Amino acid sequence: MKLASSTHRLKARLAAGLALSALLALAPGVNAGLGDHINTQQSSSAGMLKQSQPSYQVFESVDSTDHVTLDQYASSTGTVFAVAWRGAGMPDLRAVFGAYFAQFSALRQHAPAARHLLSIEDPSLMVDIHGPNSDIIGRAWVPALVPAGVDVNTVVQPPSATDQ
Amino acid sequence: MTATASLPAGIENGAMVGLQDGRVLYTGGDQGGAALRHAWVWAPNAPSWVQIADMTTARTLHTATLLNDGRVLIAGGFPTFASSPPAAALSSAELFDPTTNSFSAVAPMNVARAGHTATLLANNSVLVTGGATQNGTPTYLASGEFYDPTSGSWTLVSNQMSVARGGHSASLLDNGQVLIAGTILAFNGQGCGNTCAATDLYNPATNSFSPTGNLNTARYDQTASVLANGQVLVTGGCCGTNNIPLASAELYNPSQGSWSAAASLQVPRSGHAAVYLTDGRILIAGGASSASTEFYQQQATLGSFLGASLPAVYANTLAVTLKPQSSNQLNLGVGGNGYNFANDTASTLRVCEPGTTTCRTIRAVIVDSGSTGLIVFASKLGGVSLPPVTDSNGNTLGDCEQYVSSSVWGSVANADVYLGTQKINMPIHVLDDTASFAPPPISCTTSGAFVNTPASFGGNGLLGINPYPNDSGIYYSCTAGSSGTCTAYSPSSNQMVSNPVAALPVDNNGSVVEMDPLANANTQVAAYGMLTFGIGTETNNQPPGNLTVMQTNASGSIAVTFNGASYAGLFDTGTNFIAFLTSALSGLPLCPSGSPGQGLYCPANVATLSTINSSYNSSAGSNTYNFQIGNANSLLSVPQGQPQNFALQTLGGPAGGFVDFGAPSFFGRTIYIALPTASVPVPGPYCAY
Repeated sequence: MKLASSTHRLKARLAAGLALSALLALAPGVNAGLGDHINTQQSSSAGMLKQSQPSYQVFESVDSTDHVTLDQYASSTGTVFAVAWRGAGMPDLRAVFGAYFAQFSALRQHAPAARHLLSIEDPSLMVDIHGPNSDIIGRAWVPALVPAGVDVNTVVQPPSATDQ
Repeated sequence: MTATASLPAGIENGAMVGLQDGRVLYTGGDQGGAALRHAWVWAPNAPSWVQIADMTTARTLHTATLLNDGRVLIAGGFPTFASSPPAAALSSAELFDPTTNSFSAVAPMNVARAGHTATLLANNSVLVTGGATQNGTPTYLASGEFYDPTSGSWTLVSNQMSVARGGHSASLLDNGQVLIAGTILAFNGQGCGNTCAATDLYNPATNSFSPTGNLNTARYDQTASVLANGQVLVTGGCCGTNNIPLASAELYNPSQGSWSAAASLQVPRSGHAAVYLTDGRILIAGGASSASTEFYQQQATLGSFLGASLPAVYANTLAVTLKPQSSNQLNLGVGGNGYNFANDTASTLRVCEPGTTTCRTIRAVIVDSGSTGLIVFASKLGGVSLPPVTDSNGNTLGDCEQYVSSSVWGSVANADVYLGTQKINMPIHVLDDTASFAPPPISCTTSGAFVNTPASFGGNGLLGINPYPNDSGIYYSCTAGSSGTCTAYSPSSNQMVSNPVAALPVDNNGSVVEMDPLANANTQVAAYGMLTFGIGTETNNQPPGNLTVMQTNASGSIAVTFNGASYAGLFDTGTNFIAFLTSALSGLPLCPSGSPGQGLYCPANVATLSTINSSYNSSAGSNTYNFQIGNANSLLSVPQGQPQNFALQTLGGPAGGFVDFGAPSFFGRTIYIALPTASVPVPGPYCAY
């Protein structure tokens, strides 16, 4: 009976150390995944500054292919510590999770297979994706990268449906 | 089940066939040795046999085959059952027209035959094989021929089968070929030895037979059923030691061309019948030595035969009668579709080349209220060639459909789709056509699990009944061939895989999912129900006065409040468990790491939970909703000495900030899923129960 997959445990934590090795400062919204650094001084059509707080900034972009609205939460030093998205379909998770994609892929093997939701609660990576195919909402963060004093569970909210 | 008035007493060996409109046709047979020209029809809404106009020819031990266009081909047989003096078989054939309830002669077969097989091919032709040339001391045939209703002519197969056959079976495979097995020459060692175990494949493309793997046990008067996974189940037949019927069963694997042992029938049977029910069960009844019935429960590995001598609790499960479908209904089955997923809710539908009678019946089609559109695996469409939906340059559209944790890829093609008897014409999503369509863009395969096979997908297709107008896939324009390349494409709305409910000619404003309640402490081997199209459009879909209605957003979501906090929620036939918030929010412990239920909830005792469900953006329709979540490890364990349970009412797991009332939530409930076009009792879109 296939409900709870239980394979591929070995890869689970391979990618954790890679995040800090990202050297390039990317424009927000451009190939910047979890753990990547983005140039918080630069705002482009690919990533508009949506919100600015003392300890973090939120950049929002809409992908031209999948039309998913993606918010990237960057610390004051430009490290993307959280992402949130909403759209009809899914964003490119390889790009969204960046250096954490391998870890995400490994952790999701432990989650029960379900068409319309995925919940990962791991000390190294938190992921919550759900919804019917036409309105999928997702958010993810790396607890170790969250700036001190930020209540990430409250702060990181998916873009509203009207952003689509 | 309603008692039905009987046919006249003493009729044997007639040919019976279900019609597309739900009626049943019984033709000919013999009575006191004399063959009959008579025919009768039985209607579900007036359950008695009514005699109609006679056939053109009296016949018995003939065949009756339903065509894709609704007519029935009657072929061959004997003109009398009496065998002294021996009677030659008939070559004549005729067609039954259900609109006039009458028969008319068509061209005769090239070879007179009786006790032959007749199999509808995808292209609406009928293949007949083998049979006897006369009774008394019969000679059996190794030849075959097919009838083409378009040309009205019979054409011989270019070569002969491996062995002359009578009492054999013929089964249309997913790839469009026909598997022929068994021969009466096996009776009492008539000297055919190993040849009696030979089986053949008929290939319509070459109009020829070719040998395939030998049966493990030579047999005849067996049954043969094509399972949802494409394998062929052969059961029982004649004969074991001292001519006792066989209980053994075998599975043919088309991809390997070989046979392997299946579970044995509970009761030895020969000359029995097997019917594939539209909810996924196979009913096996009667035969020499038994008046009992049993069901074959399809599973991913070896299925089980259930019912004849099971504990009462299972007999109770299986006593549920298949509900007769009205024109706006599809039977639903959970756990009977042959793929190894708990609570997988599936149905059966038919896909045809537009405007033609070239069709395939697709079984084990998952019903999903969390997505929109019809998906079918190309491997299940053998013999059907659907015209692709193309862009202005003639390139075929590709479609990447993304679920939260998985994705599928395939072309977009135009199809006539029959949901019950209602026909729609629309673009559908054809998956895994690796022989003739472009490979997936890399981005379609890397985000989640790429589930582009029936086994990994959990079904042979998917019927998405979400209120949203289209599948919200990512579309591409792809150059021709299996190594074609794809570029991003913005489809027009009539090019997209769209809402099949909205496309129905009538009854197109929503659907009603009704699943039978489970007994046996909320677990059952399988469960059954009905999908009804339309809300307030027919007598069978009128919402009751006390319906609780929650307005949804365009995607069918409602609001769910638990412990004072509000979350998005969805009643979702396409998710296999009740997915409820997080372990911290729900207070439910996760199953231990490494246990079968890893990732699901494992409370020590069944937990009763209560939410306030309401409209998506308001408190309208607020209602208290109670449900239970049990221990996944207990639910997923296989009971000692019993078949595995696939319908698990209390299976639950975490969902983050979301509540997904998955497939188990439908057991014992009737849930309305309204499109924006619904008007009663309130305008849609809504979810109601």
